[in-house]
Amino acid sequence: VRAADLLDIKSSLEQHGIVFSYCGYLNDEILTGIGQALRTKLALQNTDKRLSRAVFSSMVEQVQNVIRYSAQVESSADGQAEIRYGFLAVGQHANGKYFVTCCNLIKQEDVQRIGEMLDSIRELNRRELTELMRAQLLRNRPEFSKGAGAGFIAIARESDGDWSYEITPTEDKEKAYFCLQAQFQSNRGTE
Amino acid sequence: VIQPIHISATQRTPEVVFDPTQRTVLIRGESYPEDPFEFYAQPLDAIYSFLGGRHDGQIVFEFDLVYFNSSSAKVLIDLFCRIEMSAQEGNQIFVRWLCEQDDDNMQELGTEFAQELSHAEFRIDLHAAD
Repeated sequence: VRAADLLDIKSSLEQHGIVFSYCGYLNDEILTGIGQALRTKLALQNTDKRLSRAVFSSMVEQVQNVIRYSAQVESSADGQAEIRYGFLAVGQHANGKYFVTCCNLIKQEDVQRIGEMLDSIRELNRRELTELMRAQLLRNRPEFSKGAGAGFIAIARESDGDWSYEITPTEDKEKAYFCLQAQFQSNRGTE
Repeated sequence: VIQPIHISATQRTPEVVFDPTQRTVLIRGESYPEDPFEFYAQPLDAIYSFLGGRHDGQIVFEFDLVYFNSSSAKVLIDLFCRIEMSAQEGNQIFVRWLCEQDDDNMQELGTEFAQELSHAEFRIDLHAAD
């Protein structure tokens, strides 16, 4: 790769307001490292603490989605080692809003379930999302889930409903790109 | 005899202290382990068997969490349900949920989880300002 090409990529990221990005195979150690660096960066620029906590939380939930579910995965023959591919971007829009965006491949068979789940919480406000989260946590773990099945609800809640998603099929239609963006107002009022 | 437990905190897992003599449980710090169910299994097994073995004791649970992810939240709400069950069986249980003063989110989550508790006593305490 030529230096000029890398600089092009870097300036493209900057044009989109992206301050933190990671594109590649992710594991839990990388998540911990990104978490520490992100917290340091947010503290250095004196970001409001409530906002910092929401950004951090959304980053953790989104990266853990990649680590657990991304359909672009490499595993060892014995199944012991496994890493999954995803693209995380954290930054700030020109209007001051922070964003945490994550993209990864999902299986075609999961497209409908994920889409329906997200559409079902689309209109809920923070209060309703908090109640729904408790209800979800009280259920038994869904069979497809390696966590609590409450990650999307947590992200929607932390962003006060300011989030969006896109699912785009790959060319061969075997899989789909799933992209979730959560946004955070810097002057969120207390409720 | 039930043995005490002391697990030290890491960057992403909390300190967990269970003192069967003092009858206290403390969970303090960060909680976003790779697998929360695995991380909490051993201490919670010990705590649950302690709770199951008595019906007229006093036990204090202290939660002092900076951050927990949604899978840890599943473990926590299950713990709250077990606490409530044990309080119904006659144990006097006091749950203290500590938060930073400006952390309305953590206060909101504590209040929400506390809806599982009616026989156990629940209180939110704010850390003193820096």
